[in-house]
Amino acid sequence: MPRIKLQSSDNEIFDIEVEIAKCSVTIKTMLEDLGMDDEEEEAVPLPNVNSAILRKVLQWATFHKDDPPPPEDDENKEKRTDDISSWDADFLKVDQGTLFELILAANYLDIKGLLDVTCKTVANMIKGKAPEEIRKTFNIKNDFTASEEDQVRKENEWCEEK
Amino acid sequence: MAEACQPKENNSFEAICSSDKCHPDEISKQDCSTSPSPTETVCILDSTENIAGTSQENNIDDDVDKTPFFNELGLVEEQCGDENSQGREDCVEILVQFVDNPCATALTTTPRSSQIKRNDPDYIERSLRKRKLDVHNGCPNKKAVPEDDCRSFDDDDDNSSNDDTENTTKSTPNSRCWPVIPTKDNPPPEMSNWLAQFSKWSNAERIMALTELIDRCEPTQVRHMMQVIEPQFQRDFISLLPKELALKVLSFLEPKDLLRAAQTCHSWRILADDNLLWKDKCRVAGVEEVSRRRGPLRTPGRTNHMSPWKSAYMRYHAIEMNWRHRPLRTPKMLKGHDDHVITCLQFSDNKIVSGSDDNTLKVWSAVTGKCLRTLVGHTGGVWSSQMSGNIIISGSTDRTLKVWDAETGICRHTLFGHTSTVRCMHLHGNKVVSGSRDATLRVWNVDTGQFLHVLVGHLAAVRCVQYDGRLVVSGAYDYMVKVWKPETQECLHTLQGHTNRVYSLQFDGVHVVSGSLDTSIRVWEVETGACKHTLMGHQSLTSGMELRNNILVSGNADSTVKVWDIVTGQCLQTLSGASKHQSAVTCLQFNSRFVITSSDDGTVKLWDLKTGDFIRNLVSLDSGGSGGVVWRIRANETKLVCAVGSRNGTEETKLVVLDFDVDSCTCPNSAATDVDR
Repeated sequence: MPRIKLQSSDNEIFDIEVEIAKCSVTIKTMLEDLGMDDEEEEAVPLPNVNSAILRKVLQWATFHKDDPPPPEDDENKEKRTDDISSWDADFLKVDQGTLFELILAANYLDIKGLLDVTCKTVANMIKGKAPEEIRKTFNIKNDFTASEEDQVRKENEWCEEK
Repeated sequence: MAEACQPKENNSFEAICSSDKCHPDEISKQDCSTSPSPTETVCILDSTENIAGTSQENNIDDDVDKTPFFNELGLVEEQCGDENSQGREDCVEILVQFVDNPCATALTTTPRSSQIKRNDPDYIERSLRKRKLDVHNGCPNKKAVPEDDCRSFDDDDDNSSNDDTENTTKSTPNSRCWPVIPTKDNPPPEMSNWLAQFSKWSNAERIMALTELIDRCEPTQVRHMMQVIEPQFQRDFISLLPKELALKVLSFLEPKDLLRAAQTCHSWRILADDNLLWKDKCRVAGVEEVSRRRGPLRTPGRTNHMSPWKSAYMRYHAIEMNWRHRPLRTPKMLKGHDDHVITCLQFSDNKIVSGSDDNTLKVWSAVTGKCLRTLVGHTGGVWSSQMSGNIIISGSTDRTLKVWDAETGICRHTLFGHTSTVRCMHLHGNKVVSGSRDATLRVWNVDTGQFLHVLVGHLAAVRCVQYDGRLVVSGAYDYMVKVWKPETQECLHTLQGHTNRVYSLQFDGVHVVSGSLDTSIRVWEVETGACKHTLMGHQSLTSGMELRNNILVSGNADSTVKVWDIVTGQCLQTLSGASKHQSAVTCLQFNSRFVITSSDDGTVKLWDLKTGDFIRNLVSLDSGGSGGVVWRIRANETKLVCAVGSRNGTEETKLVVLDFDVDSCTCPNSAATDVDR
């Protein structure tokens, strides 16, 4: 099994299977563009990902290495958030800061599966909450004036079922 | 000096606790106005029980050992040791600062030598009151004192605390404020030293110190710590993520959640109102048009413009709620055709055309409810019609078709050729295919009135026809369904299988679906002519069907309606139950959410397509059950037209028009949807 070295922003080296690293389209493309196939000694620098997050990402990638590739027409499907696997749900039981960085890393490394599941997790934190509960969840300051708030409330009134 | 200031108190511990009613700002203001320096407080509060001769570090240790630093408001007990040990408030500030900035380095040391006013009686009284209140609020902390570290003065403290409690209750039961509360501007003495020490430590040392510190905290203090720390781990994802990622998160929300997210703050509002986000919600909901209005509607004085797709969605939702729940507005009654039967009904672009066995057709405005034209010319009852744009085509028992101009009411063409009643027709483009009791079908050009083709092969009356511009499909009383190529006039397939008359047809270019008096519905492949499914379940004649996206809804004389998946042949829903129709279903229409059905029982019912649940009666004739029937219905997104009447005079023949639009309704949401666009 060929291996590859990845270097985090804080200069930690991760020695992993190439196949796992290639779940990142960014790394895959990089390897293809550079023709880095055979025993490459030099570590691939990932200046946007620190070691703590990269460790998490690789943990996710290792678990999901045998997943089928994501469907192409994904964007046209109805968006669901109730389809997160229990492993992923457990994996994403992290503080908001870590989740935030995971989203950025998944985006930078172009790992669609991880990006989807992290974004869904955040969406689930918003779902079903009143505006004030959302503010509390994410430590958001209500920066509307009283009249703005009134206007926004009217504008976003939802005709409830009875 | 300390002793001098403590005429009444002899305890070594001072607790300053918070009162929920007292705002920290208020307190500190008062404090600042009366005491020039925080040091004074410390001096006043200094206990007679000194821990003399201990080094500064030791004192800190003592502090840590004996008392909690934290409480909910960041107020703390005060250690009244020697002047070096100063105040407990330090600890709060330190912890808060640890938490705010764990890497904080050098902190400035506030001089704490001033002892002015130490003998000021007002001052003494204030500080006493403070102590009393502290105790009254119950903050002294025993748990934080390790057992091996317990000293005799702890007990003293206990006793005096109890005394204090009593005193406080007697003297100042309603005290809301007291003077000395630590703030960032007014930190407790010694805190800076403590912080400086902390700053000197390595990471491992700090972690250890923090662990020890937390170990000594009361639950309330730990909770305070959590409240301070928690926001450090919170992230305002939507505001902080790059826009495209924030939008990706929001794309997973339901419209209802997006509306709530928009009310959170400015930056969330901008993203949650994103036009493309709402375009996608519209796509999922099947809302295809931004606005079908005559022109942009603007509410005067409103400058902000909602995303057009969001507006479209809000409007769509409000209309759906009007169909489902809101009180029905008084319908328009369009009376005509005397006591005759309305046999066919067309409705598009706010124009209604009713055909009757009184030999006429009438053109109505769905907006005003006025009869615009009466199309007179047939010499027999009208039994079929089609409408497209300004053209109306009618078929009659007088064996002709007529092509009318809807605007002028002029008959442009009369199409002769059939030798019996023209019972059905289907228009596609400028060609109409008519089916007749003479067992033939004829294809005509409606622009020129020219006869194009005749399709011969059925052995009995042709009852239903479908034409998609390429193929003609016909169902007849000879139990057969035929597929024709009109240009060559040849019959490509004869679909055999029904064991009784075929009354209804649907054709989507791929599947032919036929409904028969034999109670079955058959699904055929138009290319091969093979029967793919025989849909069993109804108990009588399938009189009307509609097919969209492989979903078939069938209305039956057995008074039920069924929803089918024609690919699998499965019956998805049966619209029946307690609120079911009481007699034959006469007509139906459905969209992605609703099924509307009419019946001989005089009602029009609304059902949920997905769940099969009955929603409500949209029409319920008083004469229902005693002769009043609904013959035909037609609906668009916002209006429902029903042709009603009776054969026994109990119900006058008329069109009933119901409006579910938001613009003219009193739905509170109309305010939101009027924000334009």
